[in-house]
Amino acid sequence: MTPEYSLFEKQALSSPTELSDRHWDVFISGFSKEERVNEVFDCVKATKKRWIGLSEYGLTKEDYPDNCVRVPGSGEESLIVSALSDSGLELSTDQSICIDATGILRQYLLVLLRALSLRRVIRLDVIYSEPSRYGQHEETRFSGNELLGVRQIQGYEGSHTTDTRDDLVIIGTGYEDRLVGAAAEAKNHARKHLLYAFPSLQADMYQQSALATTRVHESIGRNIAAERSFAPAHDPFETASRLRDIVSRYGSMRKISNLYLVPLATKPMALGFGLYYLWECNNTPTSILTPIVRNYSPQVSRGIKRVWLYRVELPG
Amino acid sequence: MVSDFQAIPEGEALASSPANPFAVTKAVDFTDQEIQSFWVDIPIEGGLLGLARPRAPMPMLITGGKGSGKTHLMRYMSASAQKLRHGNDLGAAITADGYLGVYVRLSGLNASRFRGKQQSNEAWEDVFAYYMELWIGQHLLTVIHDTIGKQDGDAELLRELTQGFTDDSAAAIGTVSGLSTHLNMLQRSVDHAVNNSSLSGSLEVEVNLNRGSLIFGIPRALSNQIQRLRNCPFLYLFDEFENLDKAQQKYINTLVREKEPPASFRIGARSYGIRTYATLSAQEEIKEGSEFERLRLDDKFRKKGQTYSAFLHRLIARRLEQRFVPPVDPTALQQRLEDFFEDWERDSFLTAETQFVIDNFRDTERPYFDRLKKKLAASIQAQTAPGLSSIDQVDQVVETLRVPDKPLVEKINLFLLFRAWSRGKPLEQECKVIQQQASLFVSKGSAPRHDKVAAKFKLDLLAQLLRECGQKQHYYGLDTFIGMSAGLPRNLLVILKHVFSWAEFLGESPFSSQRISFRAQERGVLDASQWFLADARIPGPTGTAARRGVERLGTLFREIRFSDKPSECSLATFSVCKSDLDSRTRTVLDKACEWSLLLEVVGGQKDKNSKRVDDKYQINPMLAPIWQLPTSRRGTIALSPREVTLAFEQDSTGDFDQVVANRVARMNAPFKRTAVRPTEPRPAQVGLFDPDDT
Repeated sequence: MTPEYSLFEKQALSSPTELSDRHWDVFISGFSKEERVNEVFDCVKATKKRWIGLSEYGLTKEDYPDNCVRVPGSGEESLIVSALSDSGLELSTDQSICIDATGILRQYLLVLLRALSLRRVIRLDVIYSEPSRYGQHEETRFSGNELLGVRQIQGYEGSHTTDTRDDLVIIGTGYEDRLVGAAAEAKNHARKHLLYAFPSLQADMYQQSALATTRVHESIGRNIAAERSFAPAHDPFETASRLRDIVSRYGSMRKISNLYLVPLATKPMALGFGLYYLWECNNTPTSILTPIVRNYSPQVSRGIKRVWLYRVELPG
Repeated sequence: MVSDFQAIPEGEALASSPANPFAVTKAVDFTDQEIQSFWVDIPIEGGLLGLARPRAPMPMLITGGKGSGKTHLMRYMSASAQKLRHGNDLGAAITADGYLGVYVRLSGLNASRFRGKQQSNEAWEDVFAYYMELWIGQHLLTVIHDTIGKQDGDAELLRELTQGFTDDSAAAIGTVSGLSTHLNMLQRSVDHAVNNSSLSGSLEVEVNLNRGSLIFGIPRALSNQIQRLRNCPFLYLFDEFENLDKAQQKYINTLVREKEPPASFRIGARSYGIRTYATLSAQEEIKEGSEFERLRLDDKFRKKGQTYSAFLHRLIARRLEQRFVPPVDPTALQQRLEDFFEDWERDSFLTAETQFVIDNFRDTERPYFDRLKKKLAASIQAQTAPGLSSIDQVDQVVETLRVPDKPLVEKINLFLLFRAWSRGKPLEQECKVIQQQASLFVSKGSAPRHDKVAAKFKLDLLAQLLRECGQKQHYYGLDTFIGMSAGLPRNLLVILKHVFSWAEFLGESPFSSQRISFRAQERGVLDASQWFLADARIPGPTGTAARRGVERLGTLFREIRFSDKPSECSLATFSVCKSDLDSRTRTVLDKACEWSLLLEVVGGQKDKNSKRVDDKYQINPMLAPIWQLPTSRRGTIALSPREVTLAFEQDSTGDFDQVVANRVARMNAPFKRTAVRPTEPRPAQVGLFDPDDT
C-alpha cells in the first residue's frame, strides 16, 4: 500500500524554543558549527541525545562536544556501525525518535532512515531548520572542490535490469552545478527530469538552481524533459508526491527500464526522495545516487528563520 | 572581409525546422536509428571499421578523450545497429557483417556497490565476477533471442548452455528464454545480498558458475548448435570501462587474457579510465600486441590532419543536409562549409583585420604608442633606456616608428625596438634603422628583419593589437574550430552548437545565405571553451592540482604572448624533462593529459643545449580563448622541473606567480635580468633572434 503523503503532518515553528515542550526517547543530530544546529540541540529534550560527528566536515577532535559519536570513515556503513551499533543507542519500535536533519549529509540521513525502517520503526520526527541567510548568498559553497565520484547510496541500491535503453534519472536540482553535472553524466545515456525546489528557501535560490542547470546543459544532454517539475524546498511530503507523479507519467508513456533518483536540493527534499523510495521502490530497478565530495563546509549560514517538524511514517 | 559570398541557390532555403542541428553532441543521446543516420566515416582505407576490425579475434582497447567517438563507433558495431542496416534481420546482418556485436554499457552495472561495506576485497572479487556472468549472460541471450527462433527449446542447445553451472539449479530449464529468466532470478538474489550487506554486515552469495562459463560458454554453445551462428565471432562491446574500479578492471583484463573463441572484446574507455592492466593471474599484466591491440582514437585523429578535417567536414555536412529543401548534394555542401562563416581575408599587412586601429584612434594616440611613451619616460628617468637621456627624445623615437596606415608594421617596429632595448643597443640609432627597414618593407613588401618577425610573430602581434585596443581576439572560421577540436569531434560539435545558438539569438539565419557573424562566432567559441574547462571534473586532489596547473600555465603563456618581446611565437606548448619530475608531479601531469587538458606532443622537444629529447605538452586548443592563446602550435618554452612542479602543486600560487614574474621580466621593457627570487640554474635560452640571425 502506498501512502497519501500529503496527509503526513508537518509543523512550522518560529523558534527552536518551541521544541522545549516536547520530549523524545532518542534525539540524533549531525554536529556542525551552524548556529541553527546547535540551538536546536540545546532546546530539544530527550532521554538520550547524541551528536554524530561526520568526517566530511573536517573538524578536529577539539571541535567536537563530549556526547558526540564520531563517524570514522566516509561510507554510510561507518555511520551504521558507529552511530547505531556502537553508540549505545538501541533504536527500537517502542521508542520515540527524533532526528535533526539539518547537519546530517544527505546520504547519511537517508541511510539512517533505511536503518530505522529495517528495525521496524514506523514513525519518527525529523527536524529541519531554515537559516535566516546563507553567509555568501548565491556564492555559498556547501561542498569542497574534490569530487570523488557518483555512486548509489547504501540501502537504496535497487536490482537493476540489463536493458538500459529506457532509463530515467530524476534530479532534485540544487545550485551546485558541478554536482548536477556529475550526477547527469553518471547516467549519461538516460532521460533526465529536473525537479526544482520551488518555492525555494530563499528568494533567489530558485533562479540560482535554474542557472546552475544551464551551466551544465552539455552534461545533461539532449534527453532532458522539456517540462520542469517543482516541489516546495521545505516539504518532503510534497516532494515524494511529485516523484510519484513524475514516475507515473513517464511510465504511462514508455516503460522505465531503470530509475535513478538524485536528491541534490534541500535536506527536506532529500528526505522526500528517501520516503518515496522506502514506500514505493523496494525490489524495483530503482536506486538513489549521490555525488561524493570529500569535504563539506561546517558552517554556511547565519541565524534561524523557522524550524520545521515533520512527522515521518515509514513502511512497516 | 570577403564580400562576394556565393549565396545558397534559391530553393535551398532553410527547412521549416529551425532546430539547432548540433544540439546533440553525444552518441549516448542518439537512438539506434540516429546512430545509423548520423554515421560518417573517416576517409581512409577501411574507414573506422577498418580501425576497430570487428571480425578480428584479437581483443582491442578503444581509448580516447571525452567526445572522441568511442561510443558512436561501438554502438555502430552493436547488434541493434547491425539489424537496422540489414532490414531488421539480425541473421542477415551477421551473415553480411561477419560478426555479432553485443553492446554492454558498463555504467548499468552500478559497479561501485561491489566494494567496502565491511567485506573483504576477495569476497567482492568473487561476487563481482559471478554477477558479471549473470549480467552478460542475460544481455547476450536478449540480443540473440530472435535468431534462436525455433531452437528455443532445443535440448542439446540447452544442455550446452547450462553446462557451466556447478549445481543443478538450471537442470529443469526447458527453453533459452527460461534460462534468461533463471539468470535474472539469480541476479536479483545477488542484488539483494549485495545491497543489504552494508546494513546486515554480511554478504551471503552462493556462486554456482565458474569464471567465463557463460561469457564464453554461451557464444560457444550458440556457435556449435545454431547453424547461422556457426563460425560467427561474438564481439563483446564493453563501453564506459572507466566506471569499473581497479579490482573490477582486473577481472575484465583476465577475461581478455583467457578469451575463448568465438568470443572477443572491444573495450571502450576514456583516456583516464584505464586503472590497471593487471589480471587475476598472479597480477600479471595483459600485453599490448600479443594479448590485445589498442586504438587511441583521438591520437589517431590528431595524426591524420587533413583526413581528420575531411572527416569533420562530412560530419557537419551530415548534420546540415536535412536543413535544405530541396536536398543539397552532400559533397558540394562539404566544400562550401567555410563560406557559412564570416572570416577575414588576410594579406601580408593584415590590412582589413587591423583597420579598426585606424578607425578608432584617428584623434587619439594609439594605445601601444601611449604605453611606449610612458615606458620610455620612466626608463629615461631610471637610466634604463639605452642611448636615451632626455625626455625630449621620447617623441622622436615614437615618430620614427609610425606607419599610420599599417598598424601591423608599427607593431613589428615596436617588437624590433624592444628587441634592441633588451640587448642594450642605443635606441635612437636603432629606431632609424627600423624606420628605413619599415619603409622598405611597406614599399617593396620585404625587408630582412621585418620579414622574419612577420613570419614568426604576425598573429601574436595581431593578438597584441586586439588586446591593446580593447578588441576581442579572433577565433573565427571552420578551420580554426576544427583545429580547436584537437582530435575530439565532440568539441567541434559543441563549438558549432554554441555558435549556432548565438547566431540565432543575434537574429541571424545561420547556415543560409547569410554568413554567421564574427560576434556569434566569438561568443560561441568562448562558451565552448568555458564548457570544456568546467566539464573536466577530474576527481580527487590530483584532479584539483591538474586543473590548477593548467590554469597557471595558461596564465604564463598569456603573459609571455602579450609581453613586449615574447621569446616564442604562437606559444601554447612547453617542454620538460619528465623523468626529472617527482612522482607526484608526474602523476598530476599525466592526469591533465588523460583528461585532455594537455595534449602530449609526439616526438617531444630536443633541448637546445643538452640535445636531450624532453617531453612536450600543448594546452588543449579548446582552452585557448580563455587565456587568449593561439590555437595552433609553433613555439615551445622549456620549463625547468621546478617550474612545472610549482605549476602543479596545490598551494603554490604565490611561488608560481613568481615564476611568471621572473620569466616575463626578461620579456618586458626595461628587461630586468635580475630575478626577484632566483629559481634553480637554468640553461641560457637561445632566442629566435640572437646575434647571428639578421
